[in-house]
Amino acid sequence: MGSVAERIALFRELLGSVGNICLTEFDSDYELINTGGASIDIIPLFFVVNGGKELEWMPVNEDENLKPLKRSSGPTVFTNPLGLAWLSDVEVRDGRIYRIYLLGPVFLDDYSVRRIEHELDRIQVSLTIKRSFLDIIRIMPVLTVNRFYEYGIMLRCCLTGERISIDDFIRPELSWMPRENGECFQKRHGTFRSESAILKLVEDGNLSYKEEMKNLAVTGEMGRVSNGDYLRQAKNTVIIFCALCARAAIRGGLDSETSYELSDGYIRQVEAAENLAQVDEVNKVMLDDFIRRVHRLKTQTGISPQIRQSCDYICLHLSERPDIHLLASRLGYTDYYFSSKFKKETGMTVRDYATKRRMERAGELLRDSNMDIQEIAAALGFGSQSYFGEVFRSETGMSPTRYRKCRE
Amino acid sequence: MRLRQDTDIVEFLRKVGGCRGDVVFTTEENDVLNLRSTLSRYVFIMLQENTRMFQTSTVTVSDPRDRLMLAPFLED
Repeated sequence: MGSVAERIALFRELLGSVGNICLTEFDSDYELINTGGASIDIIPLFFVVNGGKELEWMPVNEDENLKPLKRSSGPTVFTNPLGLAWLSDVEVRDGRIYRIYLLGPVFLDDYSVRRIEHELDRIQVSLTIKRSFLDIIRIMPVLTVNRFYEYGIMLRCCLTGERISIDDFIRPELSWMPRENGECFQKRHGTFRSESAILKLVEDGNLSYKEEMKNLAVTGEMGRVSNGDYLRQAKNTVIIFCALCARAAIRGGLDSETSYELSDGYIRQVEAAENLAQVDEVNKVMLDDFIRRVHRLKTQTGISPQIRQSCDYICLHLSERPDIHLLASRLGYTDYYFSSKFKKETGMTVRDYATKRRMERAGELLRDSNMDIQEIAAALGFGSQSYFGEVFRSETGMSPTRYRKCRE
Repeated sequence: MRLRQDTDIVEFLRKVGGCRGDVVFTTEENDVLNLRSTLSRYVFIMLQENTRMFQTSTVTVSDPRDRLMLAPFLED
């Protein structure tokens, strides 16, 4: 293993090979020695002008005439309100700080970049200045939090040969982070009013929700609900929305158990999603499903709570053949009494009711999702695509393919 | 007030961090940066490379006490 300088040079080269990651080098007086691959000279300055607080945490030799506030002894992580992050560590020689290294700035999620673009619009500067600034911001690398820490571990290994873990990083208290004077990020989150309006659509089972939502003045964005992973951010956002929709549906009259079970199912689907498109798809289908269920409840009159509960159960298990014995025993009825009561109140047999709901669901999926017909048939418990097509045609008067084309 | 030509930008911004009120940097083309905001501070750093723009821009403070603190960086 060569000298520290050789190891750092190699590390810098490796960092450069995977992205535009700077490793800035300062002497013990914080004089810049090496901009560490920064393609733009001013980037190293971004750290020192955060508000000056970071420097209070940076290490200094004990006999320096600087206030020893919270001098760190290990690798330290810094973040700022713009979502930029840095990592610092020191090279010690003869018990004294010889070099200070600063890795960054990096973004820990691409959401921060978009937020800066958005916030920049609120600053009164010319388009040329905005563009020039965005050019700088966009070359900054976006790393996952884990990758960022791994680079910190590698840096420590280059400096001392020591093997450390994520727990060894010092993370200064966030309390001193400069907060904006109400001028920046003030309206980051969406408004409660628009959020309430969307949930009201669920509560009302409003089938015109798509049109209504277009007219809503939805402002702001979801807060940061992940540790830098954009897919995690999207999943967490949909999971939170799903939980809110489930509660709104209960307020709208949906049986709480049904609503929770639905919500759990959609959350599992979100978790299984492998990309943003799939997460969006689940979100769309979930919202539509909750709204339609509440709508159905509100338009069904003369149905007892017991039969309504059975209807909900059938709708939750559309991929299964309805089991009259199971449904009857859930209510403590005999099969015969349950079947008669069900038909009397809904006007349909259990089997016809299930088929009708399955075809409605098939229509929603054909209309609103990108699932192919084979997948839809399987999701609704049909053994073959042709049988599904036959049932669908008898219910709607057209084939699934034609139905989808007509609604594109 | 205008910034002195030899202003140490980093030191100036550190002082701005300690100001009580807003410190606003306005260019001749009416670009306005409130230097209390991190984002504006970064844009300000970018602008420092444009010497002419810096020389013709003005700095105003909302709290008169901050004027004293920033005096070493400003022209009379």
